[in-house]
Amino acid sequence: MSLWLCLRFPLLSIECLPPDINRPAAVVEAQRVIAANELALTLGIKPGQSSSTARALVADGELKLLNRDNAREQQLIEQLKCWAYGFTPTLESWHDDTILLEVGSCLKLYRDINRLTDVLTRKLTRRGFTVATGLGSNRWLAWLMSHTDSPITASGDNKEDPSLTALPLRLLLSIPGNNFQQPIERLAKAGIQTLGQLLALPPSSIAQRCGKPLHNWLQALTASSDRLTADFQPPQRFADYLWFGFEIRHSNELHPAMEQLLEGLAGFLTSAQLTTATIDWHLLRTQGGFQTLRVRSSEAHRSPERWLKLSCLQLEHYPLEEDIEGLALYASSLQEEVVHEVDLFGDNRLSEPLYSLVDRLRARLGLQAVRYLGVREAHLPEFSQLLTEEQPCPAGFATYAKQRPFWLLEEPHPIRAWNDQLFWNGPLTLIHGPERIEDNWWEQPISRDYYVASTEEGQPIWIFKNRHTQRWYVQGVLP
Amino acid sequence: MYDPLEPIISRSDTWRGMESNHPLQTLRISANSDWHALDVLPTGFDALDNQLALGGWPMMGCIEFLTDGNGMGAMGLMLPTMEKLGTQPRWLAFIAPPNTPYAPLLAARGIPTEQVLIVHPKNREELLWATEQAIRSTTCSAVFSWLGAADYRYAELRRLQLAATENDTLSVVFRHREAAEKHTPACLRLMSRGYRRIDILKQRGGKPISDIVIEPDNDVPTQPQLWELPSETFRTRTGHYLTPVA
Repeated sequence: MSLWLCLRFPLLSIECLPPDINRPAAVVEAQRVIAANELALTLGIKPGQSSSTARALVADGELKLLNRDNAREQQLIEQLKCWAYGFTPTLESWHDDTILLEVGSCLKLYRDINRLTDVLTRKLTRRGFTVATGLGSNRWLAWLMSHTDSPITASGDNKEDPSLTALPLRLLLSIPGNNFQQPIERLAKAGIQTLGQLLALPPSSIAQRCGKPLHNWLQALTASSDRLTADFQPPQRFADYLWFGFEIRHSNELHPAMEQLLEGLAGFLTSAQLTTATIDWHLLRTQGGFQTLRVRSSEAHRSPERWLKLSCLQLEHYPLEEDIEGLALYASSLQEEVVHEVDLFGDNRLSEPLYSLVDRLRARLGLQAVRYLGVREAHLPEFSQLLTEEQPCPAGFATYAKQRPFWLLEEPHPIRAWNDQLFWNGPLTLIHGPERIEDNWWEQPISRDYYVASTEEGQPIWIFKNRHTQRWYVQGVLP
Repeated sequence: MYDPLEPIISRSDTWRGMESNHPLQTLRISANSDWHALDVLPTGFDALDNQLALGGWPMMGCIEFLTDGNGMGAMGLMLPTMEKLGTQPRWLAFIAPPNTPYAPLLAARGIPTEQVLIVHPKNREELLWATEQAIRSTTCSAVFSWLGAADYRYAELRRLQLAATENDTLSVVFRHREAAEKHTPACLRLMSRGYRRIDILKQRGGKPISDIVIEPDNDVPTQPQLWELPSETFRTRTGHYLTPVA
């Protein structure tokens, strides 16, 4: 038996637009108000009114009339689907403002349908959405139940529910794709106003008098199960946004919003078994436009805590140019999750992932400030190592270690030779050498004789004589 | 018999010297001390281990190394330690090093160079922050930080010391000799006197000891190998003259 949960967003058309709690606002489509915010509702504006009536009700052009933005609504529904994918894989959008979830198959996980509905509605309300829920054994029933106030019942079998049977038949007019206009008008003339009255009629007579489509629809409504569609395939990218409803001037006020969005990202990535190494924040300005902030991590992961820490660190050094009233989060390059092997008997001293330190340092100091050390097989000392931003592969080969410095000076430093004596912060004594290193013959031939010399203190240093110029240089300090 | 000094001595913040050379038998650490475990890492030099109260580097707490100049010579003493720590799959962090450590030497000594992190903070605040982050994060086996000649408040250094007592990261800060006149919260303070000669200025559970000579290992031979002579003559340690060839 299937069980469908309907999440209907009656105010979607206004909730998808930037909120403004200080001004009455209404969304208009074809000169008719289709949704209004709370302030507008208290002023007497109702859905269905013409826009001129609405304007007349509110003095001095205070009313903000917004055009319906279908694209934005669709985008929001897609985002909500991604979010709902964290609960069940079988889901679909329905009409313009509804998502239907098949929850019968995941009831064991949540143990109780009431618990699941509670979690869903709480999370949606926190995001500022008005949601009507309904539960039924098929899609139609779930959708109809979302128009009633009756509490969710465990079985989903509620065809006898008084609040369902009391639903007006005119509701069926809003079902797109079905033309029930004529039969419903005819039924209304016969005194049949509610769904209950219609259901009480013998089905065969309905087919005869009201036509096949309504009969079929009633059959589908009373069916105890519904066809299942293929599982929802989440897109390979994540996008979500949040409107604060007020203006923000300091970056640290963004933290709660970031936390909320990252939680959503983590939920999505977990359910899609994906990870990401880059996220993009768009700080949506009050005056339109946005500021971007890209946060990188050395390894792909989906831990919201790590992303929040990195984002906050980066934000500290990122002044807000203008007032911000919204925040959007994008993750477009998602990667398949790599499963790490956990060594049960290994060293378990790490309290955080290895790369989180690198990320943290980079978030504050910049990408260039934290680098890895790499070995390159080359004869000339200055070419045999490199500093990289990406972690190099393990070197693994043992090179000649005797008489090599611990520190390599950035540039060979010239030393003075005077009266058979070398001087570098005092006289030097040669203690080992020479070792000839020649290379770079294809460009500018380099030939050097390397010696180990000791300073007055006894510190061995690495010096060489350029055989072409006969000049002496110090290049390193031995351990 | 009631000893009026006993409550004072048993306080965790009372600094106690030590009489014996056998630290582990006599070292008494109060229960609420910030030394949770006697986690010690041998330095790799017997001469130094014998003089350190714990018989090696303390892993819980900061080690302060006072050097003149940029303290490049002092890192040689850390090489055996780095060899040991390199076996752990954790970072070896160099924060604001005066130069770049020579990767081929590290590789030849068996130190995994890909675990070496070179961090270059831009200013004093970032340096302290990066050092504290590296020490506090459990992902480093060793943190070497060159604090330089700048003046640091006791409270700033105390933060590093506290961070270092929380986990088993070897935390070494290099500072200028001039800092010797100021107090330090570090549990071990060394000062370099010259090549492989150091003073212990302060050590928890032990006495200050001056002029410890650490014999250079056999990496640097005392006799020059005169298989090829330089053309000019230069004085060598044994009084011979090296004559470089033309």
